[in-house]
Amino acid sequence: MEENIIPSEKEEKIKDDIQLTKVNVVGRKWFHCFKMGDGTIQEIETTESDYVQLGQKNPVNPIIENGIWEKSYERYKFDTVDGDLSDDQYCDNGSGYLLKTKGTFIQAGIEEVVDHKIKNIIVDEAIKEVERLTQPIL
Amino acid sequence: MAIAYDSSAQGNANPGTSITFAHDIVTVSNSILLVYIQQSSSPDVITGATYDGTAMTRMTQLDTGQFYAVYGLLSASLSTASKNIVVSRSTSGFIVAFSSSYTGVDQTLTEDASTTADATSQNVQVDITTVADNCWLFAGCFTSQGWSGSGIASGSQRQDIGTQRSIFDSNAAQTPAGSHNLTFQQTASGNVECIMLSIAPFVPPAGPTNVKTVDGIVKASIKTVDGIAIGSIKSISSIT
Repeated sequence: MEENIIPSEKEEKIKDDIQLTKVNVVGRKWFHCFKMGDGTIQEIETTESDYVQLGQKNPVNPIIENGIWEKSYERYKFDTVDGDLSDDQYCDNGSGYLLKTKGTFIQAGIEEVVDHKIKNIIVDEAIKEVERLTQPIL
Repeated sequence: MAIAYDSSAQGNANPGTSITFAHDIVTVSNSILLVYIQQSSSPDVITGATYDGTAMTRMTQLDTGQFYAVYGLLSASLSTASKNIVVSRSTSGFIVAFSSSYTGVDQTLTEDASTTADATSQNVQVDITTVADNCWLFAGCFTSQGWSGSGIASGSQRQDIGTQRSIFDSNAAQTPAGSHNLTFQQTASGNVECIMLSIAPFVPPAGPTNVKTVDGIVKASIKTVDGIAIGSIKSISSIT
């Protein structure tokens, strides 16, 4: 397969061989996301019980001054200093890998992270894709 | 009873193991709530969707390397009060969820018909063969190129993220039953992945000719002999 890659594509893939550090999932974190009056998005960490009650009958949705609640979400907590993924860190996500590079979270298949390096992903394109998806809200 | 659009909402997370957002239903009247979910990879790791703590039913799905599913819930579990939808996945990753509610829908929670598409063109027509007359078409789609305008030739876009992930409906009854379609329009030739289903209208049960009904509910029965009313008219409040 490798010989079928034209030189320019191959160079781009080699350029994206970014060294990564593997971290482990140690739990979950919960966040409320608010759209503020000035158009900015504010993310505030909350507790598991507060998050869980949102999905039950008669929920008490979060409120904030000068903003409206947009959504809440749960995500992994890692064995890192702040519990989050930092740039060029990744974790095993069960069916693949979750990694962060250039400030963006990217999902990768098992063939796309090899020897703690990003392989076969054109990172800038993957980042553009994620930004396009998330820009209006996050 | 004709189908009508009620309201819609959306939520996404990247990354996340679940996403929670509010869906405010305006009217509950033979309603259905549909939730279209996309994860940006396969296999399927979606573990479920709930509305107000009630589990929704998966109605149809599509796996193209990205995974899509549509969940549904009927009137009996819906409320006009503000309620939240929770969509969960077993691993952390990208989740997009769109919700849309409709009134005047058949209450059996079985799609009239469903289809999927994974096609490459600038304009992609998705065909479906409806079973009931006056169905509406509902679709959740991904475009690799971005939508041109609202992304649909005839119908309505109800929610969108990044002009790339959207839900649509026909915004009109499809009559008669049979072959119908929605056409999705991109800014350039590219891939469109789509999951589409038809929802049938609520049809009041047909009763004997001497039974009067309003919206399918028996309001009065009339006894007749030789075409002449001779019995009493029995009513149950608010005959119109």
